[in-house]
Amino acid sequence: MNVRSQVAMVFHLDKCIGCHTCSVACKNIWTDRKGAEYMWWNNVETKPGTGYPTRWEDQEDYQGGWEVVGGKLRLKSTSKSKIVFNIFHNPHMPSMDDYYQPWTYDYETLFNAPEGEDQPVARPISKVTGELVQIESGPNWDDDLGGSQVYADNDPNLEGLSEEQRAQLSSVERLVMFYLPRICNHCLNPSCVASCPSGAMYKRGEDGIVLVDQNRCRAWRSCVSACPYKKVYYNWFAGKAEKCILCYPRLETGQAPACFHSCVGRIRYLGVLLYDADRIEEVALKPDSELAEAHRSLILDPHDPLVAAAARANGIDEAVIESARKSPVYKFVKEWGLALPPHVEYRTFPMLFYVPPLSPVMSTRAGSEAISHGSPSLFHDIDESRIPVQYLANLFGAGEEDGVRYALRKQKAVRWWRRARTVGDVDEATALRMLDEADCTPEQAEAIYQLTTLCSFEERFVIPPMHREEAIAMVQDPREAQASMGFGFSTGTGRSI
Amino acid sequence: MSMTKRIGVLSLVFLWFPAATRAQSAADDYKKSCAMCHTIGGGPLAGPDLAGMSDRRERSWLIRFIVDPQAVVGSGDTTAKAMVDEYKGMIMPALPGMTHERAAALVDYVRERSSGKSDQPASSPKREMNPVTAEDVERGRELFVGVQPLEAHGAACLACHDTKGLESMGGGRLGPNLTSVYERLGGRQGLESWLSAPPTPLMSSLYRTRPLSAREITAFIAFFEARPPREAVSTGMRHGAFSMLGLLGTGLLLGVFHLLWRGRRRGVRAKLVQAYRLRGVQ
Repeated sequence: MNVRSQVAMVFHLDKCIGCHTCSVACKNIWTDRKGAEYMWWNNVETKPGTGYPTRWEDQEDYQGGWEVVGGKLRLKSTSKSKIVFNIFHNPHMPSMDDYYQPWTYDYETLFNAPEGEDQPVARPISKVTGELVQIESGPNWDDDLGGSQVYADNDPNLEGLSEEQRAQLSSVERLVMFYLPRICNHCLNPSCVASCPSGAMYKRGEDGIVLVDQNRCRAWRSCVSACPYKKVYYNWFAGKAEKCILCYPRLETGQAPACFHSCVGRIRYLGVLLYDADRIEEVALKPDSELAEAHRSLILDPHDPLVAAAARANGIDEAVIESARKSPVYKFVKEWGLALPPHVEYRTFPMLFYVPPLSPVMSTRAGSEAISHGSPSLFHDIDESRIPVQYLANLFGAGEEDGVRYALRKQKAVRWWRRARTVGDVDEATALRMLDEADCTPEQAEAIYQLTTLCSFEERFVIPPMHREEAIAMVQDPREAQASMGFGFSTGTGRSI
Repeated sequence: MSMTKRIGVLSLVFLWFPAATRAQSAADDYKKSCAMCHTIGGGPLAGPDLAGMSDRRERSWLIRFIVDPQAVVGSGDTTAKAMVDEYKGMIMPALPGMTHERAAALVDYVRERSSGKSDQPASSPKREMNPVTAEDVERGRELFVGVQPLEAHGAACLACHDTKGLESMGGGRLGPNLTSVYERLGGRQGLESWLSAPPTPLMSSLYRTRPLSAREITAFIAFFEARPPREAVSTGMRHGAFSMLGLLGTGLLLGVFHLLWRGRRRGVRAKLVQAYRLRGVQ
């Protein structure tokens, strides 16, 4: 057992209102620089929809992530032999059109335009070329466009859905959609790190945050094509790859990352997970159908004394282990089984998990009868949700419906349990039966309810002490720079005129 | 020894030294710089016979011309122009490091020699004028196109020069076309002296350290002498073919690249929009 710690995340999609506050917070802090205009380290997508960059989930096209070939794990996008032939041109790179041409407006005209017949108009100007452009797409171009025949209809997750289900998804006045906020998943088996020919990308030992060393990056952009989530971006001005850094400067000072902090719906949870690094390869080689479960099995129980001892032996601080025990992520993912990894079939093992959203029932009104909830099967509406379980399974279960159905049933059972307690229009016996069928106890239901609805800041974000000093001491003697001119690549101070 | 005396002795040495070497160096200089194209009373080679040139031209004009022939021709000097026309457009190359003093010395040297009527041609003893053998011609061709390397590892002529009758793509176009070089340089002797010490700046810098051997020079002379009747050469056709071949090759390469990278991605969003537009509004 090779225990490591990872700062992991849960996004509770049932609570996301799609307000993009997270994206704006992130943009204002990190990506409002030249060359980074088009980067959205955090973005919110409407599902069904094609996302950003367009159809990023289509790995036949983008070639991101891993694949198993002849019993071995292999990058889809590149290999030692492929890189020889593609050294000057990576054929799987997203183009500017797949992102968008970042633009601003010619606001000056509004003030400086000479007197004329018409009102002056601020025309759009490209932030890349500085020329007037025709805006054709944007980072959330299909925002709220569930049912769009250009975008929603081309969502790769619709695969395996019947024609009827597809038609239901986009039928007039019954449109359904939900939001999928995305940041870098800080994967356990990151394909971006594996693809980097310069060794510029790394996963931090103490918290598993995946970073790009800006001094080592040589602009090969292999990471851009290798990341199946398309969360590494290339700064065309600086000539370096950039990505979400999980606001590590904030984490190191005990603050939640900006997108977590600003989240209006309080959908975001953050905490430490302990996992077994020795089993990653073994798990990655499993068939698609077993992946989601196997991925969850990598996460270790911090309450287990054996795990704690192995963690200590690996140099994980006692305070971090303690923090892992309080982690809301551990509860959502492991204890309750509510949160699932996105597209686990890419085999990168994302450390960002999603609680799949409940949706309205795909109801048909029989005459003037109101919709009845008194079906003999208490969970009939899970399979009749307007968002088909198959769709969610494509997104969160590599096509396997079991995990998604389990999470949805439990969520519904908790709702009915609380309804019996507070509204009282459901009798307690039915609610208890539902909990039982959903593999939940009243205590667990209360805990889920608490952490979902009444959670405080401290409960949502259990940030471990980062012990950056210990991490640094492992690779560099802290006294190395003592009495010298400082850290980093500074050449030292000198007098100037 | 007093300071003044010492200075006196030193200046004497300095004054005497150049004067003594001057005559010597003019003879040498003539051999190195002039003899491959000119004779004194031996008839014209690539350039005119210099015998009595001081009678024909003014001394100052001669010096000016030797220092920078190009400038004199360029200045529209009629005498120089007439000479260029006479020698089929060939202008005497500027000699590296030529100064006013050196030129003056050369003019003096040539005048002395012509007045002495030392009828001896200035270049090396006349080579045996055997008829060229087919072997030599073939060897010359091989050396020219580079099938056989030059002994001193100089670049093959083909790299920069073209000549009529070469197979396939012909030679380079950097240097002049050598089809009628045999006539231009005044036959065997001119060619030989030219090749043994090429006087143009570019050629001399290339072959000074990698001189041609006597055998090679013989082969080249044979090759150039045996060329078919010289006419004005037209290489336009061949260069057209060259461009066409280049275009074809480029097209072929692009085709191969396209096949190799046919799986490359070409963007998705525009295609989605296009597909929707083609379907029409439903």
